[in-house]
Amino acid sequence: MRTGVKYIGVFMAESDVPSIMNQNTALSEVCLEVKNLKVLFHTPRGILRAVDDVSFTLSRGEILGLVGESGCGKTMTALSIMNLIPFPGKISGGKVLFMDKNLLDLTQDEMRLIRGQRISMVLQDPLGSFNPVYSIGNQLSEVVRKEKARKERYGKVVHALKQVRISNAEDRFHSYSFELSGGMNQRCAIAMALLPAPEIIIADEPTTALDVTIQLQVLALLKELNKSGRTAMIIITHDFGVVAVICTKVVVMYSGRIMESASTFTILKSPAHPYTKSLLASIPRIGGSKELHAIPGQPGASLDSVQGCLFASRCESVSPICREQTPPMKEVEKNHWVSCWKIESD
Amino acid sequence: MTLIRKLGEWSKPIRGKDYPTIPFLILLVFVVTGILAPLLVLHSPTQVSLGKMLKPPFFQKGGDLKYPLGTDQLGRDIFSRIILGARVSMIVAITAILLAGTVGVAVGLFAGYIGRPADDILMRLTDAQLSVPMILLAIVVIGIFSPSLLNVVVVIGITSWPRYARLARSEAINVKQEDFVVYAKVAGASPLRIMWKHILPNLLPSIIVLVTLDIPRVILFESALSFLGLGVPPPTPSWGGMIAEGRSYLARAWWLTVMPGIYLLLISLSANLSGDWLRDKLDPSLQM
Repeated sequence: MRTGVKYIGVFMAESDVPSIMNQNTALSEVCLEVKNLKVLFHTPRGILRAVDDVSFTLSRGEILGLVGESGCGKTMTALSIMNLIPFPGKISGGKVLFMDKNLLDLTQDEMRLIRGQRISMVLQDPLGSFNPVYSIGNQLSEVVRKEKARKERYGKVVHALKQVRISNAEDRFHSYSFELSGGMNQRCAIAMALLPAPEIIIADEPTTALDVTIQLQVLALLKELNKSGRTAMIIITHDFGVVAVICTKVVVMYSGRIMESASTFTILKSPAHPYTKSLLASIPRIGGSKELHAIPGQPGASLDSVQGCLFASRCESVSPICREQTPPMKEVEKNHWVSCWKIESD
Repeated sequence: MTLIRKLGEWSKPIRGKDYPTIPFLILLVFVVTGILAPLLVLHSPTQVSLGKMLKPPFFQKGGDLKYPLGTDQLGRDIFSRIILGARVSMIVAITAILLAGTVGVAVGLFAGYIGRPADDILMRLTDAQLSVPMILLAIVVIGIFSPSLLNVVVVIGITSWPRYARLARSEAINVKQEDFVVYAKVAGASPLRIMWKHILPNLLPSIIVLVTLDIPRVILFESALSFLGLGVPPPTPSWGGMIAEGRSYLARAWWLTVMPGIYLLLISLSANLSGDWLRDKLDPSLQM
């Protein structure tokens, strides 16, 4: 499919292409492996499958993009890695292997050593990221509370603030979150995630609440931090633009299931799943047609009773088998997996 | 009409200053008199002197500057009694609100943050407390245990905590949805630590405003109890008690009731206006 090729020039520099192509063959150790993850919500109306049989791997230095519409289970997937699923949700199956240890088996105390220290998070709302009652320096220091000496903590925090390009870091230590702009707040949140030198940073829609120019700055910062520290990242987003700028590989989710997963280059060059194709086609382009391409229907998690491919009701290329049986994940190219009946018939 | 508007002006800043000076001044005087009460009385407030009974205030015929606001039916100086009554009111207000506030905020914070089922249980407890009429409870409690300062404080505390609980709970529910609470959880904070360090400080603005608005209500409640004979026992002067005793003499010695009444009005009004100003000042929608 040639649809994706046009996007490469728009979002990525041509020079990025070779390095991304080589990503799969580079020697990288796997640090996170999610296997057949299932998260169920027991509601009065039935069992809601928020995450349904999700599997992916993340290697050191990789940036994985978790893409999908609202309600498709991206945030739940991330929360289950940290074992922070709120009641009435429950992780009902699968494994989350971090450095070969299943995180779901750990006790709360053991998990506390990992959460926030070796796997950290950056959240969406920059202004709510910090408690307005304390200075941001105070709150950042909490992350390095293991360091007993106050001077050391101060030093580490200021260093982290400098890493995220906050000017006047020494003064900013004493600032309050409402004194800073959204972009600065988000960068402080990234500093908070960086401080403990984690192996993985999970960013849940980190740029959604920021304006476009700041978005680019924050993404560039994340990319730089990933390169220098070899920190693996999971970027959750609904915006393919974000994906194209920093993600090395992509997982497209719909209604709790993975529809397609591949490297960014492959997804943009030759998307295989109709959903992915529709998502890419929905991006309005300057000089393109005046009518917006939309996917009819509503996204969301599915109740237990739905059968077949979950995208069937909204798919352009739907056929009878789609409604009856769930398509299996098939590797159509090297490291390019798709769950769709149409691929079988092509 | 203009008079009402004039009164409203009092709660607004006076030129140059950005706080309402007159109510603050009145409250300051109130607190100071409460603390220094015994030093400020002109005569012993409990000294009975039947020769001097029912003297009118100094500006009326027959009045004496030595007894500026007049004397009551037992010859006690009204002004001195009002001063001492201020102390009683202040002690009752501060102690009762401290009690009600601590219990109420704890209940509300816990209920709001933990959620069901603790929330349900605690809120039903709150509803139960609210469904008991305050005066009735006072009559029962103080009827069983005789009237005393402690009992008055306890009764007022018991009847007042639900409003703090409700406020604390709704604010806690709002605050717990902010991202920094998630970050605290990610960093490994226990629920208790989150409630104490993160949620509680964010509740304080609303709670403080409620306290300022509650002070006059509590003083009035105490006065009502004294009026009914359930308040601080005589001869300790209390504004409500003075107002009650003065009822029988209203026709010929109006100052027995009206003088304490005026002070009660002034303090309530000042506290209310200050609370209004404080609420505007602490409004989170105004940044910095």
